[in-house]
Amino acid sequence: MAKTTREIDYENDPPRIGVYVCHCGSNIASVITPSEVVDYAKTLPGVVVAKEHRYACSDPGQSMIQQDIKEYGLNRVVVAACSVAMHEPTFKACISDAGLNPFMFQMANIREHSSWVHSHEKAAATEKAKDLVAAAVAKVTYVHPLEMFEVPVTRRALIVGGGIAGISAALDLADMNIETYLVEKSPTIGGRMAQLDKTFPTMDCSICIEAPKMVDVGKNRNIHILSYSEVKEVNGYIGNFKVKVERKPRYVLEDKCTGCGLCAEVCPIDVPNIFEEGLGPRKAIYVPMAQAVPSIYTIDMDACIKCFKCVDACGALSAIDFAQQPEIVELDIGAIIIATGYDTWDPSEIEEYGFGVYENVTTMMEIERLHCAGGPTVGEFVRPSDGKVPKNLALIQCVGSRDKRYHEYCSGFCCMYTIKNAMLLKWLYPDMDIIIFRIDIRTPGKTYEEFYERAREAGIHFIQGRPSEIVEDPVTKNLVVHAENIATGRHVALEVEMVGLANAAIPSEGSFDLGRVLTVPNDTYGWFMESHPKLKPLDTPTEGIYLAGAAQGPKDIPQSVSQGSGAAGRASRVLNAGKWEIDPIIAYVDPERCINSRGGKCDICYRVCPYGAVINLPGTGQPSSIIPAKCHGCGTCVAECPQNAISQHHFSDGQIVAQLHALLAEKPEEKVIAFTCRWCSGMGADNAGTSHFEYPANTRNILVMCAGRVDADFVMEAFRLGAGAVLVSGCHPQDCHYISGRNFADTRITRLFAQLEKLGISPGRFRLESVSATEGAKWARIMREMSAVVQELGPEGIRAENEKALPQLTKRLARMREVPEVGYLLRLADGAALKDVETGVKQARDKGLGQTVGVTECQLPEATACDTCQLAAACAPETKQAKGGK
Amino acid sequence: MRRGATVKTKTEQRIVLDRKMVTLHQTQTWDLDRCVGCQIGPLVCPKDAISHVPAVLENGRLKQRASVDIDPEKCVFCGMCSVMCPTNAITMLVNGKEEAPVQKYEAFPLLIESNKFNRDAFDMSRRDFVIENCPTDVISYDAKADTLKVDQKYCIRCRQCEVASDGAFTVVQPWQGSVTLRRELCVEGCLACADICPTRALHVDENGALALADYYCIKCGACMQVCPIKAEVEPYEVSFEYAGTTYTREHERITNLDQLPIVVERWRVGHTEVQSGAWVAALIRLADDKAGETEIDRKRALRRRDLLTALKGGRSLLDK
Repeated sequence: MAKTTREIDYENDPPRIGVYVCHCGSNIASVITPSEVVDYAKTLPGVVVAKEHRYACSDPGQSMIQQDIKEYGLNRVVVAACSVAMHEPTFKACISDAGLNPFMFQMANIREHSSWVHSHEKAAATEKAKDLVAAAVAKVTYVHPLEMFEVPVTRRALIVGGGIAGISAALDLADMNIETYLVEKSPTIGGRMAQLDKTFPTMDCSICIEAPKMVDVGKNRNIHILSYSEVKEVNGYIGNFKVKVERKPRYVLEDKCTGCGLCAEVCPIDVPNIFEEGLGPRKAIYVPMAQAVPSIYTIDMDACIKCFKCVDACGALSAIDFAQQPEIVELDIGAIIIATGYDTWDPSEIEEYGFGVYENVTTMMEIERLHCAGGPTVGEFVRPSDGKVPKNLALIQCVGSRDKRYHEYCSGFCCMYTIKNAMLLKWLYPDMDIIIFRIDIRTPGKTYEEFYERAREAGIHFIQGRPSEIVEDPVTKNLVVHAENIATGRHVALEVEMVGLANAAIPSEGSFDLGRVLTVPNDTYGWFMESHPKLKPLDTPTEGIYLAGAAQGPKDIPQSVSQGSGAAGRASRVLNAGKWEIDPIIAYVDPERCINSRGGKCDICYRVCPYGAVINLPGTGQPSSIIPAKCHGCGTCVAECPQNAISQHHFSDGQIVAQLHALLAEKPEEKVIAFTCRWCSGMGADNAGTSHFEYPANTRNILVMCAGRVDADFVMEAFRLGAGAVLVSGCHPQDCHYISGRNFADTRITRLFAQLEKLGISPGRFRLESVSATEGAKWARIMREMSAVVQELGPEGIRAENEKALPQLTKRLARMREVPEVGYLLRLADGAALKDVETGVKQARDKGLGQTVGVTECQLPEATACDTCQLAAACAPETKQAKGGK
Repeated sequence: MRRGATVKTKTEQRIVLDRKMVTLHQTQTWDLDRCVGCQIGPLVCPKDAISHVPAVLENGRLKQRASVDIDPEKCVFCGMCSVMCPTNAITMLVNGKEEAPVQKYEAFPLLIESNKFNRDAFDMSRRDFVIENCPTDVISYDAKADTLKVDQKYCIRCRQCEVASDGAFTVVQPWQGSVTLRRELCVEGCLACADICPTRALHVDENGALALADYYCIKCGACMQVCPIKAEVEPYEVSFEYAGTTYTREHERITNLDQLPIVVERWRVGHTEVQSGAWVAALIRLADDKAGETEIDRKRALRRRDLLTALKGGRSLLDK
């Protein structure tokens, strides 16, 4: 359990900071002059040693830091290098190995936030790097050693999505003897792979190789299939998720149904079978396909007319129960794997292709079902209009993908499955003419290129050019495909009897909703975001939740299978560990400052907490308190508390104000301060860096966990200090990593807009934005716009506005000064002795900075305390400790 | 998924729902010229896909007939409405052939209704009158066989021909019930029901007054729908038991029966034997409560009989 004591003996152990500036090869050094930054760092208060290194993250780089810690007796370390998402864990581990508390560390991102985005302003980029280092040094001065929480881990996994990725993950986890729940929203597992006829490039029968795996899943004692179910609610954190799964009523009792199918024989209702892409019917009581696992029928209540013929047909088995209700199953889960796969995009949006209007324009998945022996036509490939085998066929690629109007991304597997379908039809009907319209053919897989070569040899024609239009002959229902053949530069008008569109893969329906439930971010299209695209492709930013298969982006079968196994491996790390450490960056209440301890009736902290982590007893004289194990550390309550009674470990008011002061020490009126959340916006800014989207170098970032943490005081303090412009940027509200933090930021900041405008701050100088982790371009655009506003007003104009607002701002910030840590800092600043930290920290003890504010104990009687926490092991020792080790 | 989606086309004359899959093609056509907006369709529909479009009256005359509208998202092509439509306005096709799937799978009965012509009992001199007299123009003269022919598909069993031919036609109506006209309750000068009545049971007599010839009534109830004095309904629940489970359905009952100038009651319907919850539900909604209860009682009795028969020595018990 966390020993989060804030006692620092500044007198006997003053800050001794080591600063390390990384070259990152030439990534940083080609723009920023590291030696200048190092020289500057040496002048900063508390800095004992400053060095540069070609690769700080390399073994020699880390050894250097470790050696310095010993040699110079460093107690705090700053590394100016890349993103926190990239190497913060690396360096934390490094200093931890050298005996320092890992939280006595701060990173300055001078790569994604400076060298990669200001390559044309080398001097300014170096200046920015200096500022970022100064801010990191300022913050690290005030950090406190924190201990990681150790939480128990429930040895049980949940997999959302029963496609081939989910199946692979489930089987691997089950082999490790881990109890696994496989939730699938449709009545059967199998997913998209079950719909396919053959697989490329081996031409294996898809269902023939998948069905045995599905059966294995069904029979495995460690796997529980929850089919026809959806994940409704997820609470908790790594190792300790509480998941609510809704089991939709299938009106058939799973333990009684034998899958004999007599009920479907008597059902009078025919509706299109989604599994067959609507090419053939199914009954209102159905299994989607013959190989379904579990082989249990389901009644589609949207189609059922309640004639009860099925009840009669079922007879003595009595497996049908029309009175069934939705049922919520509650599960305790240690780790979650998202394997929700993809959907196919409806190409009727592209009007010029006429899908949905011209009968013989089909999608590739329809073609798949049409030539599948298990399909509605029993494998006879016919065209929809007249049921005859077409003599020729045009297949069009990149329909809705690689198209800026719809989806910019490449759907990845369409080239291969188009070629596969063409090959297959060529085998079945050697006389059929098959023409593939392509932009490029992408075959980056083992033996894929050879497969493409075979297709060319088999006489399949490839024309380079995206068709502009398809026109139907109303009599024959034949289609004329118009395109420009790029190779010859000529217009092609090709009459064919049938057209197949390789439509884009899109995230499966409900991906955004699931993202919200799991607090895992989606990109703009809805694909789930990985924690790091290169190094953590199977992890989500939420610890304990992993990704497998096409949920993360289009993937073919081998990739999905390997990701399924990979995600199972990632999850088993946690599940087999027994216990897990989590970040202690939680909020805590200063009981003396909480107004409720003086009989107040405030419940703001309680209302804004999305996790129910606040124990709030208004009117009882008891101060509010926070249950450490339940707090996720967004900091919304910290920002909302009108008494400034709540603070957050590692993101305290003092630490953030210290950063502000460092960043705005010189020429503040030229600078744009951006508060970003750790997840979407922080990663969006990083994304601008990795994509090298240039923007002006007068911008400075401050990272907090959530936009909800950005106190109105911070914004006002920035303007008081003379900032040119301030941006508060979070996730898109629906994607907020902390459920509602972004919404509370919205309310708070919107209120502030009006107030600041009244004080004479021009509207463009203060903005609230949403930037997702993929919107690097948007981030760069916002930065450019805000810089333009600053430039337009000019330093004089901004100074004038700020001066006018100054008295009011100072008045309003009075309350923030009451926070001991901040008050001390501001007094220092007022005395123009900001850099005099070493003497300052000595005074800090007397001024209250060093006062002990232990982690708040549960204010409830001991017996009930742990029921409230619901996490006896994590909370109880802390409570006991706080109460004197009882 | 675009394929298999229901496409609706609506014109002045008809509403067509078309659902085309590769191996199955379902079509449903509502002939709005035949539709009298009688409410039976909306009542019988198990998916509430059919909604009633009220008539427009002007000075007591019908300006625009009552009609229906269909929600293509909800229709499941069961064919119940096409079976029950009293004016045969609905045609359901499966793969081009006329078919009601509910009947095919015995989830719905065949209605016992007919119109038979006895050539020998007919005085041919009345031929033209009988043909002219038919409100739906389904009787034609077959010169070759020198006989009259009835288009059974569109005959609404109104018995006009039966009376006009002095009994040479024998008509069996599916529905039994009652129709009551109380002219004293009418809105003065209103003849809207006579305008909509498909059978001319409600008509305007020589004096220009509304009159009822109840023998012709087919109990469709279209008159109640156009009547400016609206029935007030209160909801109540009907429950019935099927296979050991009790099902409850929302139902409506008229509270102001004594104020309505025209009241049609459906008591019972002639139909073939069928075991189907859908049929029971339809009956409960179409006929008065008694019809539904009778049906259910009959079912229970039949099941008791089957059970006894199956028991050893049950037959003798039954005989007693």
